[in-house]
Amino acid sequence: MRAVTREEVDEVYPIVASTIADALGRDAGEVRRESLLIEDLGAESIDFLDIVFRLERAFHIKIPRGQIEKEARGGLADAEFEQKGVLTGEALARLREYLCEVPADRFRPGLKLTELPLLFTVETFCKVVVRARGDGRPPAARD
Amino acid sequence: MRFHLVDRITAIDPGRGARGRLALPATGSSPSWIAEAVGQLAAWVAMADSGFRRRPVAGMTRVARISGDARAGATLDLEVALDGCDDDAVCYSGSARQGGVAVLELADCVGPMLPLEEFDAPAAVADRFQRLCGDGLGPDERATFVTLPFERRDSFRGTVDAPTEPSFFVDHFPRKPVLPATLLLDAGLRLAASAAAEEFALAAEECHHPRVVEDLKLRSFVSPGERVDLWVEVSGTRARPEVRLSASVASRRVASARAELVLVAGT
Repeated sequence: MRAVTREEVDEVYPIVASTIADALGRDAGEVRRESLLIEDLGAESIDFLDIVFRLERAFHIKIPRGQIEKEARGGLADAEFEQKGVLTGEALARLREYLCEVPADRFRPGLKLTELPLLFTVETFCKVVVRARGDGRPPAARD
Repeated sequence: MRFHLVDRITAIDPGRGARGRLALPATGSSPSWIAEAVGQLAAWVAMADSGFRRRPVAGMTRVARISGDARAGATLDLEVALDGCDDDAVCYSGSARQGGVAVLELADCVGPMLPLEEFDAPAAVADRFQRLCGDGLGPDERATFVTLPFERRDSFRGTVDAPTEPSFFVDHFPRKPVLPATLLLDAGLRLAASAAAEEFALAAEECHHPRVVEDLKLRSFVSPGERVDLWVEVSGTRARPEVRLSASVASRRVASARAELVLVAGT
């Protein structure tokens, strides 16, 4: 999994932020880089599908469903990542590293796998877009 | 209530698209009803692609363009093209045509895929698919046209009560009865038209018809007996009102959409 630079996030942020604002029916000013999608912006599960779909269209990329979990999981086997639906300590450590834009106190012990979207911020989706683009070209260059 | 809106699948490209037919009931039709038929055709392709393990449910429609009025009793040609389909979601676009002329087009629809066995008996669904791909459904199995009455609370609000009779939900779905979202959208569009008519003081011979529905998003199932609150916000012009639609059950948001209406005179 390649590291994403601040410059790469900055480059895609305006489109990602406006896409998320549109999907959630929010004013652009309400969406900030550190906004949590569920807690701050009121996103629900269907909104995540919507956001991913819109980002795919906006950036001409393909984002496989469950991509964030897949990348965060890395090489961890199922039992190493979660047990009875609860994320393991090893999983939380991985997630803290992968979702480094999320405040550390959000990775509380006992966090469930189904609660993973609670951690996602606008910046999280910027990083997903950057990784999905791969070659770093801006969307205009792909048209 | 019979709720299988595709009468026959006339061509299928597994996992990628299909064409089908719908004979509109002689008793009536609505844009929502036709959109449901297109969505159901996409659902058949998606369910077959999953080996009848998963089924899509109503999710999002980016744009629905209603470009003509389909006659009750007319036969529509349906077509869908899938942009993607996996265990989590199906993405598709589609259309319904009458005599070669588009009456409705859907673009960028996304339906979450859920375990089919939670909704229906997979073997029965697979069997119905085989019959649809053969001679199609018999007249007794075809859908009956239904609209839900809504009670207006004021100019911009109304309520709809989901029926409670088990017979209403026999096809939607046998193992998990939920109110078809298309009936909710239909009620919302009728409330929108009456609210716009009042807002712009239409004459008796004038009315508004829906022409475009955008960003339709279904967030939650509505169960039998639940009361749905609908409300609309109207802006735009008398000739082309723009409407925001919302639906909730208690404090739970169940649906939202934007719609553009058009003024029709002399009806």
